[in-house]
Amino acid sequence: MTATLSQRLLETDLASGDFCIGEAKGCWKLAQPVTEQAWPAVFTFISAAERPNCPVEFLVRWDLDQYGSQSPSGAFWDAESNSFLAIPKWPKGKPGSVVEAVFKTVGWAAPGQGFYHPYDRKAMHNHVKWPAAHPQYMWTKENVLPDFISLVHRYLNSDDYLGC
Amino acid sequence: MSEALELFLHSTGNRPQTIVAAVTETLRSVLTRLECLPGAGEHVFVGEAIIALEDPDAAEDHHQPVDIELTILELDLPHHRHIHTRAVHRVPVKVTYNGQHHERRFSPAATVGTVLAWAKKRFKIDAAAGANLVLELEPEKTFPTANQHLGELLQHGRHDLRFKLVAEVTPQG
Repeated sequence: MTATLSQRLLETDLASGDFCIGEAKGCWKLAQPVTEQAWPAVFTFISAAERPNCPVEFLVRWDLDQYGSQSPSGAFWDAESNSFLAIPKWPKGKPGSVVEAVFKTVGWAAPGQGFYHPYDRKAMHNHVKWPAAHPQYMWTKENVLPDFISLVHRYLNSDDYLGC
Repeated sequence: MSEALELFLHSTGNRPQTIVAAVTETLRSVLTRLECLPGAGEHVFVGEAIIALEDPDAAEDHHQPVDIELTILELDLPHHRHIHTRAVHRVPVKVTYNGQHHERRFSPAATVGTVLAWAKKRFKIDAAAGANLVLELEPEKTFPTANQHLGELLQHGRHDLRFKLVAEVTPQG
């Protein structure tokens, strides 16, 4: 799939009700326009529940290479340093919770560079048994980026989200 | 053209669409242009129904269909934003948890997030203890997102929804 086709697919999904409804509710928004220069990187802000000394939104960089034929990969991003958010600044979850598991920054192949969830292709790497064992959590051809954004928004607004 | 608004159009079995309408247009005119007028026995609602959170013990939502001869402005769509067309009048919903269940007849304009919050109230689950609970749609075994409206989840020919309230456990290791 060419970058142009992937980009067009994404632009359609960003104009869809799924994305625009969340945007209208203040749950998320594009951080900057989607451009060919930045592709396959796309940046969104995702709002988070208020926690002491923590931002009320996080910048997420989505790697959408081959969007439409493979799943995205996302990670928290630092706009100032133009790099992945430093691991100590990543959101934390209650011990044993899904929030902690998805935002974990140790013990896997891409700590601090992806979300540890089957939607994220970096997390899927080397997990060949996940699709059969956990079909309900897999990214399918029916899924669109707003589904993944919605998931991250839910975790950042969960009572299991402790702050950063 | 008078002031135009971005609105969200929901219909049975489909993902929502973003549409643009003039505030002086009637809803009938908008739905005609989009070829989605309701048929016999179908209804049009506006807004999102959160009545279940205010009155969780009632048997059904009291959310009435609108008159599509009214204009976008008269229907307060600049505030409500959502239009649900070709909708059923109510969506019977059953949520099962720990071998017990609760039922309610929801407006098709209620969201999955509202059903989840309602279910936690009915099962008396406090926020902290229930933070990892999600609604699993039966028999599909999928997890609809909080912003999805119940009407969208009804595939053609299906008139009710069944959910299981389950702890989300993403794969590890």
